[in-house]
Amino acid sequence: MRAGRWMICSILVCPLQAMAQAPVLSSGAIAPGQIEIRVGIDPAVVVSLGYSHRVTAVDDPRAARLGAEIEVPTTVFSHGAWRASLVSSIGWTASGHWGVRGTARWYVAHNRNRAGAMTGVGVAFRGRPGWYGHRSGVALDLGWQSTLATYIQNSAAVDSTFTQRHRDAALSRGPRDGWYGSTANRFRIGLTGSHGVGHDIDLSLSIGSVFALQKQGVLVGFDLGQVPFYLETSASIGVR
Amino acid sequence: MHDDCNSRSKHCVPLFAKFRTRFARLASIMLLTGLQSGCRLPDTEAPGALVPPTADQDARLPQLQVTVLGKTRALHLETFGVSSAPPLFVLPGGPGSDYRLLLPLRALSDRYFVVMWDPRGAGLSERVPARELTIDGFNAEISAVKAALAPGRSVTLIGHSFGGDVVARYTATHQDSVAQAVLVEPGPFTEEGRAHYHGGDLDYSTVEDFFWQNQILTSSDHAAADYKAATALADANRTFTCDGHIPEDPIWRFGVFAHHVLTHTGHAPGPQFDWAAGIRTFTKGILVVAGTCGAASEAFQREYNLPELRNARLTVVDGAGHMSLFTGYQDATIRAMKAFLTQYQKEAK
Repeated sequence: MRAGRWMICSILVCPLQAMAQAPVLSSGAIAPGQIEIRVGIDPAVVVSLGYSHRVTAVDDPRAARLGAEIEVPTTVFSHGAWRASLVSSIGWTASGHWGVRGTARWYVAHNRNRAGAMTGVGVAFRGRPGWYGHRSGVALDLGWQSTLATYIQNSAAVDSTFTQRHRDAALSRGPRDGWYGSTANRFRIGLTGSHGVGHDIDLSLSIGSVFALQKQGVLVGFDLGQVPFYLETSASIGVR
Repeated sequence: MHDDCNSRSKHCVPLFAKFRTRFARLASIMLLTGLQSGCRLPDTEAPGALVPPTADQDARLPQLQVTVLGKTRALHLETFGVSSAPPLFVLPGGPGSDYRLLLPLRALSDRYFVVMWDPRGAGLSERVPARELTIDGFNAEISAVKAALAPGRSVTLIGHSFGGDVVARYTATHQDSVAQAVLVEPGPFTEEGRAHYHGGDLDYSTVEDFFWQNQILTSSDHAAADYKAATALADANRTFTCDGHIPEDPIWRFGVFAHHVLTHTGHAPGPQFDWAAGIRTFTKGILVVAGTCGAASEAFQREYNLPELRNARLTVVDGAGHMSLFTGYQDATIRAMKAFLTQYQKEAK
């Protein structure tokens, strides 16, 4: 019963559960504090800065961490674009050097442009099953991101698109400001590699495809914001 | 909460276990609540939520049901003037744009039966699958509207931008059905013109914003895609202005999926495709109207499009851009058309 409850929780929360052996990670990964700097293309050019703290003992094989992160694209100043997240991560190995690291980000994201302003709340799960050695590792990079609810406040420019449609002006009601559900869903599949440098630094590189499922059935289409490619580099710095 | 996990104390395990349990429960509740809430909240595709509904979603819109390529679709369509007057059809650009920008041309309804509509997949007309969005489909659509509203009669055609290309092709292939043709800054007819055409280019900030929005709003349905495209479209229209500023051009809705299919898939014109092929044998009169600013202006028309037309008259509206031909310079544009259109010439005589 307890194992079943835990399995359900681990699927939902990705993944917080007790497993067998620790992945053999670099020293930086087991430092109490960790600063992570990421630069990526998804396909927006984004930079993120985060801090996490280990919540398990040094000798605990799960190496669980909790932290926070801020991510911004290059339009952070012109469009007020940002994403703030609470982050949890954990890792485990089934046997030998094969294991998985999982990360969950609970986020609030914001953007403002000519159409108006939108603020969304969502969650992004990322799992990296693979081989983790003493200093380096290589893994699949699998992810799902869902913005569960978004508040949209439309601009006067969008309001104007609703006018002059009917001979009877009273029929032309404007757009709806308010909450919308499940406004973004993206999937990620790629490869990631990491390598320890020095005593407290891990460097990683990830590359692959990030895409949204579209009812129109378009997998590659600039006009529809679908350029299914991502590239990400990161540096994790242990803080003692 | 005391954290002794930095030590090797055995007390760390129960502490973490409690925290883990509480966090897992809280996170599970939040996720389930979020998923449930997301399911109950309005969908972006709900008609009229973010973008105006299409004709098939709003029966109160002026519209016409036409059958094209075997499918009956709802066209957002308006008529002006008396139906007994000579018919004049107005086609918008894009592909994907609506006819709102071209509404000033209803002034021609004093001599003509003016018909304006949004093509299938564009503006407020019904959204259709990719297989129905073909170049030949435009000809079939014009013929269907003609059969419904002006059967057996020659029509005058006015096309703006991409609509000018469509008019050129229909005129070339249905010469007996066309009385006169007016092309307002048509898009490039040939591959050579397409290679030198830079209308609609976006700047970096707009592209970055467009992709960043995927964090919050993906183009997962027609409504979300058209909503996001509206912002990019405004920036793209800078390339058609004299001063490079974003114009406030009137629009209802841009059909971005239709634009994508007709410009970036196998349905787009191929390298050898010429919109004006065969038009040189049309002798009943072609007018090209162009402004002096922007990517499709007089200079472009003279170099790439006019050589493809025989005996076409060019009228230049000084100071006008691609869109402002119908906003700030609409009077001059309409005067240029009236100086050419037969019904006004008859009146003048």
